[in-house]
Amino acid sequence: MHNSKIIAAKEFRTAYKDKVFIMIVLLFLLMSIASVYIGSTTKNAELKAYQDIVSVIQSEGGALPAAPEIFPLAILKNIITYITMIGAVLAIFLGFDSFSSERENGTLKLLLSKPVYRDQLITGKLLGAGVIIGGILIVTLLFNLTLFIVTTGLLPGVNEILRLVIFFFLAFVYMMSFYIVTLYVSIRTQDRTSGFLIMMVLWVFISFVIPQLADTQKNFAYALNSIASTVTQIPSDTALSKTIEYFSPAVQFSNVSGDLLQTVSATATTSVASVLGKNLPALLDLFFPGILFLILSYTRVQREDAI
Amino acid sequence: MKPIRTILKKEISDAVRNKLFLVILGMLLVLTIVSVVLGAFQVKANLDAYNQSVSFLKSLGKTDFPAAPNLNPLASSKNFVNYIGLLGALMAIILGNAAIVKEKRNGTLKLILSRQIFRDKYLNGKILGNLTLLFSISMFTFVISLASVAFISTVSLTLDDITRMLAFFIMSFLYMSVFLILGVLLAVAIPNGNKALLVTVIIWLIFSFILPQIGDTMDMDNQLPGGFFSAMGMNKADTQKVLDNFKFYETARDSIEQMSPTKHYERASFALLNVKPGFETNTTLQILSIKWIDLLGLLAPIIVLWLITYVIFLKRENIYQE
Repeated sequence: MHNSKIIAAKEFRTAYKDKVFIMIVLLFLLMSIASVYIGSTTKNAELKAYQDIVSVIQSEGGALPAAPEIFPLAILKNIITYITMIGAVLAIFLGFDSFSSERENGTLKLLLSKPVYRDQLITGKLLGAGVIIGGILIVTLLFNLTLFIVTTGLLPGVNEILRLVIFFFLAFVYMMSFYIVTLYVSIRTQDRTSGFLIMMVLWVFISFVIPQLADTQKNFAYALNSIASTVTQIPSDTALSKTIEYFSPAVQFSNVSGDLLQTVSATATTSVASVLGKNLPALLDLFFPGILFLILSYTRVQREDAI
Repeated sequence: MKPIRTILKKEISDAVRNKLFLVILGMLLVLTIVSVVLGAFQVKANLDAYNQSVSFLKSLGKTDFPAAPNLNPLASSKNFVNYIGLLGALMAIILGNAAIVKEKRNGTLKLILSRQIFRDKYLNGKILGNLTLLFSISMFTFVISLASVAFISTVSLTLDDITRMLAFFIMSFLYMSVFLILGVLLAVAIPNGNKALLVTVIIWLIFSFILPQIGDTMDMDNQLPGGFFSAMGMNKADTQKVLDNFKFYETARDSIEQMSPTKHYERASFALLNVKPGFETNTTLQILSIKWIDLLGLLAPIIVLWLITYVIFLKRENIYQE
């Protein structure tokens, strides 16, 4: 364990000496913080628009539409997108040269000539990445909580704090999954640029292409508004769209997170346990790639002759 | 002119030997056909859902029915806009970065510039070679899309449909060119090739994902599935009346979106493909003149980035070092 800790500490120091990595961390933190501000501004505008609509309808003597339901945690919903987008790229940036750079610089040979087991090397790298990603998410959580209190003037209850903590834990799992897959690709590829680009293509597929393919297979039901005689299209899942979504951990993360951050009114006031119970298949899908590639990484490093 | 032609040819032959480039290109071509096939299915599903709603309204004794869903065959290429925004841009970034970095790594940049070739000709050859490649890909995808739409769709294509589609693929070429030249610029400006690639990807993330996402989030109508204003029972005129009270907010939102080449590409493409309502009766030229700001939003970065690349490449002493 001691050797793993030393490697983890080295990973931590290396990451924070890398200017490009610092740039993406700052971008992530900035967007996470901005998301609270953007979320609350939009919700305020939405409420004001509703009041304007009510005064227009009252002057015409028509029936009033129901007020939009606004749940407090929903103002943080943009952070789901930022974690799916920038959080995953941040994990790729952290992991793409974790093995290949050691190989290219010749330090891997040197390291393995010392009394360090190969599995300790992987454990050390994982620990280092876990501390970095965990640290970034804890800072984001604290910032978000503070801004949430400042912008809404509300003190979150136990249920809301629990929802937030679980959301950040799932964000940690999601980002670590990307790191682990990147680590595996870094073990398998000879040069770091190829590893990075392979992961970027994978990221594009998981985060955008598969969700869009799933969207095209959704049903669009027509909802009729009896007051204004307007028609709106409401998307609903089909068996095929749900099956396609299982190939994308990004969709599963967004679905569970949407429920946790009260963006869906049906699950906004239920207990955390029932939200997690409802999303059990999605949670399993979220954990599966990380565990699979972790096993593959350990196996590959142990068996490789010319590592 | 001869050195430029030689470098141009070499760039194309290098690209077709780059495995990653070929993989992404293959994915893009497969997705082109997939998007047309799925688009056709979606149109059919929408039509079925619409017919069901109309039957339901008839059973209630209503005579005023909602407008029928869009059946135009071009809309089946809608998803392709997103694939170009993602894979096309990534492919262009790889080409742009590799154009300079491979020469630095192999030491051939020093060798070539020690011959009788001016730096501007060298740079022109590199950029023009990759632009030719991107243009050929765009035209090839245009032909594939056209064939797929004609084969799958039951609605026949008019000459105007074909010119709209051609204009859309030219817009796709311009969009990819922005990121190609950005890739070249950063590979020239940043000595470390890997860092240059990472910084290009970060800039791509900011302009292609973050800015449009902020714009979408700030769009009040996006707050509820099916649209906030529709859910409130507002028609177009009433919606506009309410939005007039949010002039500053809407201007701020639009300005954020205007900074993104992706949003310009999306706006022009959706108008050309008839995905956005209101352009059904316009000709291709009329749409391009209405959407001139979006065309400019793609052309201006290409010109500015190309000029900056020139200045850096012509002036830097240690251009060979990695």
